[in-house]
Amino acid sequence: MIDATWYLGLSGFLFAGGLFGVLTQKNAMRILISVEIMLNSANLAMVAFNGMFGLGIGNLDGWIFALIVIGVAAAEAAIGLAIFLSVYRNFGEITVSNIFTLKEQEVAN
Amino acid sequence: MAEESLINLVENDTLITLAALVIVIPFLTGIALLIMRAIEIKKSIDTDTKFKFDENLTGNIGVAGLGGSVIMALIVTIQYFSQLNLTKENISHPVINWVVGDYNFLPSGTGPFKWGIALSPLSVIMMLLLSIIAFTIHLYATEYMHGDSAFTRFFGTLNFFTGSMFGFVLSSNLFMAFVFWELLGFASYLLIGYYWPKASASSAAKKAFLYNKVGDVSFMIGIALIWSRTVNLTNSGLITAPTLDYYWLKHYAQIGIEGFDMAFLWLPSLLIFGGAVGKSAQLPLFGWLPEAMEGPTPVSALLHSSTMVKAGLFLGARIYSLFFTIDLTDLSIVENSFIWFTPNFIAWIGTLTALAGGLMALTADDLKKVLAFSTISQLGFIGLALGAGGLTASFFHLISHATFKSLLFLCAGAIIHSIHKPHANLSELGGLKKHMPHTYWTMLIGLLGLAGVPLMSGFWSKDAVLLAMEESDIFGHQFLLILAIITAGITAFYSAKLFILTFLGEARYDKETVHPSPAGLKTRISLWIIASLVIIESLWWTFSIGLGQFNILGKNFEYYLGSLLGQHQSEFNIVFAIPSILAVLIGIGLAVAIYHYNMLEVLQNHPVMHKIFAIAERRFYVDEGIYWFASNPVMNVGDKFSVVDKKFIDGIVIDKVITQGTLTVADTSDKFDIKIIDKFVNLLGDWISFIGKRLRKLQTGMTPNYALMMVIGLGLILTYLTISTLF
Amino acid sequence: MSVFLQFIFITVAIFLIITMYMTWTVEKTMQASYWLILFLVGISILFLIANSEIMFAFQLSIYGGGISVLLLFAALLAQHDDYLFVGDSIFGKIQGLRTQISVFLILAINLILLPILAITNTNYNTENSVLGDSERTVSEAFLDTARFSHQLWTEYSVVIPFLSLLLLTALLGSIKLVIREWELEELSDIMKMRYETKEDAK
Repeated sequence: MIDATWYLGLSGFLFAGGLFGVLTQKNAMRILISVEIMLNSANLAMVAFNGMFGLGIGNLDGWIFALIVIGVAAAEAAIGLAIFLSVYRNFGEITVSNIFTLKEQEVAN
Repeated sequence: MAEESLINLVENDTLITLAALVIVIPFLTGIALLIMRAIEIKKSIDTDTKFKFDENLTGNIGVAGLGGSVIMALIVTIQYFSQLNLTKENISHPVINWVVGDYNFLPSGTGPFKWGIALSPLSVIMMLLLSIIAFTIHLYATEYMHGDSAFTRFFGTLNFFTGSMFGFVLSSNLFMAFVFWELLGFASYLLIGYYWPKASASSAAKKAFLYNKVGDVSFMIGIALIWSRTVNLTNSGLITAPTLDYYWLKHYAQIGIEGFDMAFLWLPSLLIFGGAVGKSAQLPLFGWLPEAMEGPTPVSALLHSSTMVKAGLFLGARIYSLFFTIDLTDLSIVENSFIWFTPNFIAWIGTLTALAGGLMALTADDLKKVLAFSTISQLGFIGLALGAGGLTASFFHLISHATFKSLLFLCAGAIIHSIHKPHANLSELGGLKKHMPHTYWTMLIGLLGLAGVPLMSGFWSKDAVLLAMEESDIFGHQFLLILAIITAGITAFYSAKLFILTFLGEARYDKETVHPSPAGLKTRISLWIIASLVIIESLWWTFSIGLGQFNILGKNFEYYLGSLLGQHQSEFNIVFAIPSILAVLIGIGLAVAIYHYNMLEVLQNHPVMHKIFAIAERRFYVDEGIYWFASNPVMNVGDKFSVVDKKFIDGIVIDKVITQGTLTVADTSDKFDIKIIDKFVNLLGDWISFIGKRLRKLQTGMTPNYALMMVIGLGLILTYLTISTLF
Repeated sequence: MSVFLQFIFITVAIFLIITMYMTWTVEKTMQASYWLILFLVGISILFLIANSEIMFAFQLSIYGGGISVLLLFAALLAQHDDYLFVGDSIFGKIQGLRTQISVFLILAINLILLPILAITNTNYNTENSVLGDSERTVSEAFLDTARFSHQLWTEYSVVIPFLSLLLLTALLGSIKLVIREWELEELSDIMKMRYETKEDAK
């Protein structure tokens, strides 16, 4: 019998880890991977919530939500990768810290 | 000789409306004509010609206005007299109905501002007479002013004047009377200054206005005194509301409310009579009337002989109760206050005016000036009767004088017109009888009335005046009576002189240049209308007063008039009339002797006579006294004030320093303002740009930085939520 | 048997954390995606413990089978190596990341401890707040699955078509983004350089 709060704690930790990856990585692919980690941690939390509230009454909304999240993650990964490929073609690299053409221009004062 | 009849207040809307129409119709036509005049002027300026509406059109509009007034006046008179229920029984102490209609145009209690019409016998008879005379003069003027370029303006102003006169006569309270009084003065100014390009005419208009204005000031003060007293009485509960109505003032004066008795009233009534002094050319304010002859003759006929100059004395008749409520024989009351002052003042001024006017008329050469001085003299008679307590006698003389004096002026106008000169000097006339027969006969009728030849209208009225003086309690009334009789003699003398020098004898004018022509048709009609009025009056009064026929309700005309006005005096007595008849006959005889037959040279050349004539020629130095007073003390005071003013101006220069000071203050505050505002605004802008520059650095274009910021924001929100849930 | 389940849980948790760390720190992107696959498997095990077999199946098949393969291929296409921790010593590894770590710590505390505190302080219905029923029967498992699919097609019958529409859009969009018909002259300068150097190197 695992307390559902353990799931939630783990989910939070993994979410923070994924967040760390998103913020610190320089490679766009790794950022995408970290986003996937975050989404998975969210799924974990949904299942945990379902166990807390729904199983007794036969309500499986949490699982369904997790399924939908999986679908969305798939779509998002596809689009993201397509964008990364375009960026790679144009800039020759996928390092996000080197791509800043939308930078605020210096204003002569 | 106090007022005796009782007055009953009656309401009758039809009569009031008709009476209002009498006032309004001439105003409307007058204003319409003045608007037409404005159109004429504008068109003349625009088209550079002398555009003029057809004289027939404008003349007819002017006369029609008066015609409407005449018709309304006749209807009002007939209806009014038919609802007066005087019978043989109550003729001695009748109850007279006054028909009054009022309109408060401010909330009650905010002031004396009321419009109202009061129909009493006094105002109705005056209105009727005025309308007939004014209508006739308008008719006369259409021919007299023929060819004048400002024809329309003349009729517009004349109608405006007539409307104001009706308004004054029919007004029910002192305020409305004062308003119309001022309008009369204004219209007179406009009409005297009708030929304003001529310097003498414009200065004459100014003189008339200023002399009238002095009287107006005293009139206003009198009204203010009465009003404030009525307000006091209302506050202490003795009367219901403050008022300036003639009816109510009469009523309060007659029933003798404490505080509104003769002990108080002598001053306001004196001051109101001061207005009459100005308007009706009593001593000392008569100097304007001879000058007023600068206006066209219809103006002199209407304003300065029969209507406007009578306005002052009419006012005196209206407020007669304020002069005379008690018998002056009750000496205990008399000794304790100034009650005796006002009637004595009025009577003495009246007599002296009559005498002075008569003497001045002897010395004048211009035909119209003779008539002007004669008017002054006759007005003095009316004032004298009023002061002596003879309300009926003064009104009687007012009516008769109005008719024959206007007739005389119309004849004078006809003469001036016929010799085609601006002035008709007596020394340059003569022998006009064969050239102007109608004028000859009508002028004869008028002069007979003026002189007071027995059996003419003037005789009866003048006799009533003398009788009033005889019966009065004025201090020294016998002396005044003698002066009045002497004046009657002088009147007869200069009337005869005028007649002889104008119509009889050889022609003294230059036969080459002057060709007298007979009077035109309309002139003749007008002359005969008024002449027939004089004749009717003479016959009626002769039969009624003299012979006791044609009695109204069993009493003669004078008694009937006295019942209407509420004041009776003794009956005509042939014995009493003998001195005045004698004076008249002596006067006429002397004139005939001196001027027709050139006798009595010794009288003409007597040094005493010369001296008197010299003084009279200078108008008894009254005018000069006024000028001196106006020029020396008044001007000195004015100069002193102007010095003060200049100090003020210097003060304004000092003020200029102050203004400079304010300017500098404004300047510095402006600079200060700019600096502060500039600084502040710049500071604000600098801060914002500084913050902007700093914040701009956040936008690195690098996605991870943006992600970091998003996460920080998310973290803060979550922190807030968790903390708020925890606590 | 619950102790066994707890033991499994803790093991899997540690496993997940290790794989997560490895995705950050390996040299190549391809390797990072390998470690992601392991992570996904770990998540699916946790689903299994939580008595949702169907989620276990979905996670493995969709995530592990589809998305990670996608990531692998994309990583192959855009090969570009970079390292997260540069340097030999531990201090060297941390050096470039000071501010980042501090931010991470703040977020971690926030995201882990406080929500847990909030949830534990709330009065939930704790009878059923237990996952990992070790005495579960097969029929119960199948019943859950049946209930899941029933609920999917009745309550959420509108959502599934929308989700499919979303995926279709993503497919088409990504194809459109990526597709190109290019000649050598249309390449960007950098790509030209790369291709030219490779050809030169041949």
